[in-house]
Amino acid sequence: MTEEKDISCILCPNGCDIKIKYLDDEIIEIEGALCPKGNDYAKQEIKNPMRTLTSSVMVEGGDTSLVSVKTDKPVPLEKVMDIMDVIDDLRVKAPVSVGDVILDSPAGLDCSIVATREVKINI
Amino acid sequence: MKKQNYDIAIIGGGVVGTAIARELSRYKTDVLLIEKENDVGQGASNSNSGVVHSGFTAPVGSLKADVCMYGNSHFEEICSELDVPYEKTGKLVVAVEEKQIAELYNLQYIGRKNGAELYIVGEDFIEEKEPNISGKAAMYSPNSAITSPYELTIAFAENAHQNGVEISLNTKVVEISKKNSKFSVKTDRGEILTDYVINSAGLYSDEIAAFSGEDRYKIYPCRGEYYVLDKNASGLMSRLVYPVPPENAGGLGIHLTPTVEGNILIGPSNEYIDSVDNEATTKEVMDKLIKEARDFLPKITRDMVIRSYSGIRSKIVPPEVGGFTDFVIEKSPKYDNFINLIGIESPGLTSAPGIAKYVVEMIDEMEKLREDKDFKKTRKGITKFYELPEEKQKELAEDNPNYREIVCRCENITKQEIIDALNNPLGVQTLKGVKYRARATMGRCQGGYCMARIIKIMQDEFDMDLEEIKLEGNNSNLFAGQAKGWG
Amino acid sequence: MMKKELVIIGAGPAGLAAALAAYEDGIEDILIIEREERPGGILNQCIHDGFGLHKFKEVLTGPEYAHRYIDKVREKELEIMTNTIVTELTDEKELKAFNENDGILHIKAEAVILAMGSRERTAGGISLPGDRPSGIYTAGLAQNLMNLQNIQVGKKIVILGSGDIGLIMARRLTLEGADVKAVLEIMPYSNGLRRNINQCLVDYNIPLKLSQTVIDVKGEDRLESVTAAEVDESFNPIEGTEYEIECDTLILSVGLIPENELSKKANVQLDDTTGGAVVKDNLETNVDGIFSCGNVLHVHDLVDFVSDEAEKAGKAAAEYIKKGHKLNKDNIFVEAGSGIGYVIPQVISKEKDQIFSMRVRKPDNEKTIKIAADGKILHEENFEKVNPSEMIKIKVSSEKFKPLEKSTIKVVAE
Repeated sequence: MTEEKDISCILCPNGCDIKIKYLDDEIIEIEGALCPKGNDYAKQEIKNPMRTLTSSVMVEGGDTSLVSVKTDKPVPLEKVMDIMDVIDDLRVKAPVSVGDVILDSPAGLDCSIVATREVKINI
Repeated sequence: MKKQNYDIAIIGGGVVGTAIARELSRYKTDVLLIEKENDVGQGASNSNSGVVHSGFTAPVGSLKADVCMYGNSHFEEICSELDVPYEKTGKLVVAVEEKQIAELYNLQYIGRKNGAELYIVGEDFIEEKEPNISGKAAMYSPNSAITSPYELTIAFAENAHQNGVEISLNTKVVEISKKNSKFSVKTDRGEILTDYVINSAGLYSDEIAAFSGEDRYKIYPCRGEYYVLDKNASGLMSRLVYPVPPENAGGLGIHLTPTVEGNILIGPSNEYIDSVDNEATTKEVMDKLIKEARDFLPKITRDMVIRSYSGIRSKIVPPEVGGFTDFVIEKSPKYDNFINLIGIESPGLTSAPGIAKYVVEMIDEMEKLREDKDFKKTRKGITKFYELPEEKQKELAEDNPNYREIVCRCENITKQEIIDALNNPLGVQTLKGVKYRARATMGRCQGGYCMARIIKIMQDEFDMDLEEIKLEGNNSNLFAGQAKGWG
Repeated sequence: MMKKELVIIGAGPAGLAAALAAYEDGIEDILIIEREERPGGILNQCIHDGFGLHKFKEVLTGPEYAHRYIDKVREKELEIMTNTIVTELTDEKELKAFNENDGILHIKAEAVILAMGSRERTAGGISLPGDRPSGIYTAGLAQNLMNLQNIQVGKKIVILGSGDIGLIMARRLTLEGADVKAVLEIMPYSNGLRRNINQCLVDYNIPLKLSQTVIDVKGEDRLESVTAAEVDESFNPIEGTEYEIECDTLILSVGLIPENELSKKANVQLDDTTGGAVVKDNLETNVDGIFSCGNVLHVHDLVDFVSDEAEKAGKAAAEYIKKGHKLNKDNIFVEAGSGIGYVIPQVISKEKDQIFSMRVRKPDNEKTIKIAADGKILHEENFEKVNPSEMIKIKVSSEKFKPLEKSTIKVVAE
């Protein structure tokens, strides 16, 4: 049976409402996106929704106790909580710069956790 | 409680209980003040209008009129001794309709008999003094004033404490019985023996009175809800503005009160409720507050509101009876040295000094009290940095970096004031404790900015754990714990 | 007294962008005053992504977006005075400030840019009824506590208001192990961006309850439950629809208020609708040499637009400092007409091309926004979809204003 889904694109603030018809993995019809990225996004959403995870990691010896982090690429939505578990007790040492890799392949996934802010050493 | 035996135990750390404690601390006597909450003033004392009344509502010759008049004439001196804000703003009781004018003369008659200075003034006077207020005529009371009810209660307690009174917070009385010549006061934190018991338990005074065989009184809790307006609205008026008291309502009617902090209060309502601890606010009443306030001051708008709160009066007549009732301050039927204070509601704040004196005289009559020559009548509050002249600010900031950091940006409170508040002599370390002592979180952002900073000071300077930081009551923990590294 | 050509109050996205723009235009004597420990403003706690798509054509997190500007400000060696709080500002552009190093500071500026941002509407501000226990937080405060101070405010959460911060916090709290029971929204639509509803609520199966609000709060010490109810068209609770939600935390995401306390002290005229200053097309307020941009002017949904606006204010301030004040006699007043909440700027000159920023009053499809004066339509644009949560910008060339006789133009959505 063909299925139909309404998807709001999250890639940009336009938030296009995309209508997609599909049968299993096969896309039958897709409309509503203002750009091609939207179509790709909708297709991905049907198959396996991907998200960039943002969170924070504890810092030792820094001028602040947390460093904000993100996955350097989108990860499967269903794996997000696995990463959260891995980083819950993780600690890094100050200093940290924006873009520093905090952890490679969290929960065995093909991504890295990178810092999104700088943390200086607490003097 | 540090000891087994006391001369006098005061039950209840509201403004009346703490005023009595302070008054007793002038004498050589062992006093214990017992308060069930974790700070003083947690009942009606923290949640009233903060008005020092001039005494024109209580009938001539009543105890209420006497203690209120005493309070009015001594308040300025007491506030100056205790470093508590006091401002003689004056009050207008405004007739919004012609037919209310006659009632103004009635009030003036009673008030003058009580010794209050009162004038009937016309529309021109209102227009000149309070151009935003609309009214046909008013009674003007130049001696009405405002104070900070929480700071006063804290100041009474601190001054009493400094003069040797022991204050036991977080202590709930469970039973009082006669044990030989003494009273045994059993609490959830142990038992003490005392010669005298002073029941100043406010909303619970009927329950405490029952231990002394006094069962004639029952407390009918009557809630008053308030709105607090942003300081930006403070220019709208500068005096107390009251309506002509509504007939038989048992309250003063919804009025407008400037506070010493510079806000305006609208309220209180007058609602009999079932439970003595139901301090909720309700949509119906809050809508009514705005509506009635706008009758006097049409420029008030809803977006000026920064907070609502309520306090509960301990009335001793049910709503169907209503009308005037006097304060009950008397020896219990069974025991002379068990003094019950029941039905102490408005004007309880103004009356507290007079009540304290009255109670101490009752004890003095039974047992000659000996003056304590070491009594210190002054108490220093927290230095309010932003109210100081700039020269003085510079001097303080020069010596102490904590005065260079403003933690609460609405009220301009420095880090040192927060530290002072957390270092208070009663050992209270809750967020509300800081609020009532240093005013932080009281402004328009309601802690949105400073709360995170105060928490950090609690952690960094006082080694408090996140899990033990409380808003007010013992179970009012603010946080669930750490976000990261929690489990 | 310290003297500066340009003082910028606030080192958030608006202040930083304004400083860089003024510097580009030749002003070097700049002081940016920031009350926090570090520059970046609210972006420092907005650790989620979604920023920078317009400005940098890539998706950044809040701290990364801020970092781009902080790096440039450092590179140009512009002075940022952190941990400094401005307590007074006069219409003579004199400031009083406090900080740990200097104690009390007095500064005289030739021009001032207001970039103080906004604060959150509180429980008191919305007259939240019921008890007043612990466990009630504004969304931004909860975000600050969680993302900057590592504090989890609670475990069982209800969120009132579906503005973006509320939605973001619904996800954030869920990720950190809390159970977000529902997001209640009194309006029949959400005020948050659509993508946030999707990736913050739908992804985590958090129900969004439209046309519902909290009508009672229970809890003697800590919050124990809230009572929710459906509301009618005038936002009054509908009897019989009440239900209780057990929770220990209520997060309020019920609006932002431009933080104009200092502006008022300097006699800056404010607009009742935006809560921000009334500004000319160069973002100058009624006070000569005081400019306003970012959330202190009006609440934005995208930081990219804040940066754009701030650059404009920075350039205008630079021009003011270099050339002094030019009186413009051909002022035209801009009014928000039917269907439009507000329009910025409120005063324009005929000589320049204009970009109007505006918000519609309610979400709708197939709307035409018309800019009209003298009974004629100067400009119109069609929109497939409009939403109050998404700011609309419309560019109009100066050619259209030149023939105008009347001094007021009106913007309507039809």
